[in-house]
Order: sequence, then structure tokens, then C-alpha cells
Amino acid sequence: MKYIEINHYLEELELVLNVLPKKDRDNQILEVRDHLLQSIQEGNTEDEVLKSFLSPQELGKEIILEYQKLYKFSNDEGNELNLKEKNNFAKKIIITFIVIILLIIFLVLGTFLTNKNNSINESDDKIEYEEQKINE
Amino acid sequence: MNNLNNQNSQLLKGLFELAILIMLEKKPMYGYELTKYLKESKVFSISDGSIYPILKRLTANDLVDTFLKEYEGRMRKYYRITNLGEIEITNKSRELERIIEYLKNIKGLEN
Repeated sequence: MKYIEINHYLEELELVLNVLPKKDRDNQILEVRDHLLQSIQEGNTEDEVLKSFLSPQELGKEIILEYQKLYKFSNDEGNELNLKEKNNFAKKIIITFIVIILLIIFLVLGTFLTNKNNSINESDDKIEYEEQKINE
Repeated sequence: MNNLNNQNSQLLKGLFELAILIMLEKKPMYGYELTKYLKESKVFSISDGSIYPILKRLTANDLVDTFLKEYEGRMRKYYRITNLGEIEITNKSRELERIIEYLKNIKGLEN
């Protein structure tokens, strides 16, 4: 037995759910189809069944909304992971930068101290030389 | 006012979900069957079909899972409760009891 109105309803619902992956769409249609047919088996007419059922637009919209929430949630989780990765990357850059700055400071300080020691030694030599000259 | 309506509908949705979980705790059920029981209870007035987005949400949150079984030449999707779903029933029921207790207390204060 063909249920023209029910088939029409399901076709419309399928069109609304067109944005969903085929597997999810088929899954939803299978379930709604079973509901409508069960209602008919329990003695209701096609008209009665469809009148008490949400319109394909309303039902489709609500189902899509649930999928959107689901995808948004998984995207947010993905963003959170990306954010963590970015934070770790930023931390590594800061640590490398600090290490480089410290190396530069040590190098400058080292060079400065060596130069200072040299100039002290030079002036000591000069004093010694001048003292020798005076004694002569 | 819109906000209040929204809160009401959120509250009802929460109770609706809890009722579905409690029914599924007894045995696996399919959409039509769940709708029928909910309508018979006369507590929840729902349009036929509006249970499916809710079942989708419960499935996505791993509170229920699904399996297919053949029935009179067509496939039927059944929902059954998961361990997480059982925990959710305990938590939500406790929460609800606390709210009811609180409401009773403030009602007592008024008298």
C-alpha cells in the first residue's frame, strides 16, 4: 500500500535536511517514516497522522539546529586545542628569546670585564715603568 | 518576558529529557513508543515529531545509544540508556529534589 501523503512529507523533510551528511539524513528519515507508519498501523488516517506531526520545515529546522550545536561544540573543542598549541608555541618563543638575551648579556659582560682587566694591567705596567724611570 | 519564556522552555526541556531517560532505564524504546507514553502522561504536551531533535541531543551527549531492529519489513531505531545516562538520572533527580525542597521551604515561610 502506498502512502502518497506520507511519502510527500518525507520527500519535503529530506529536502530540508539536505544540508546534513547523507548518512545522518537517511537515519532521520528512517526514524520519522517508522513513526508515521506505526501511527497508521494503529488506526489513524494519513491526514490525522500528518496533522498531529510537526511540519517538515519545523522538524527539519529543529533537527538541523541540534546538528549545528553538535558541530559548533566539536569546533569549539578544536579551537580550544588550537589555542593550547598556540599558547605552547608562544611560550617556547618567549623562552628562546630570554635565553638569547641572557647569552648576549653574558657575552657583553664577559667582553667588558676582560677589557677592564687588560686596561688595569696596562695601567699597572705604566705605573711600574714610571716608578723605574724616577728611580733611575 | 521572552527571557522568562526561554527559561521556562529550558526548564521543560530538561524535565522532558529526564522523563525520556527514566523511561529508557526500564527498557530500550523507539521514538513513537516514547512519544505515546509521554502524551499519555498528560504532563508533557508535545507535538508528534518534536521528540526526535531531543533524542538526537541525548545521543550526541552519550546519554543514550541506538540500535536498529527489523520490524514488519522496515528498520526501526531503538534507544537505550548508557552508563552516563544513568548517572545523569541520579544527578538530575537529586537536583530536582533540592529545587522542590527549596520551593516547599519558601512556601512554608510565606504561611
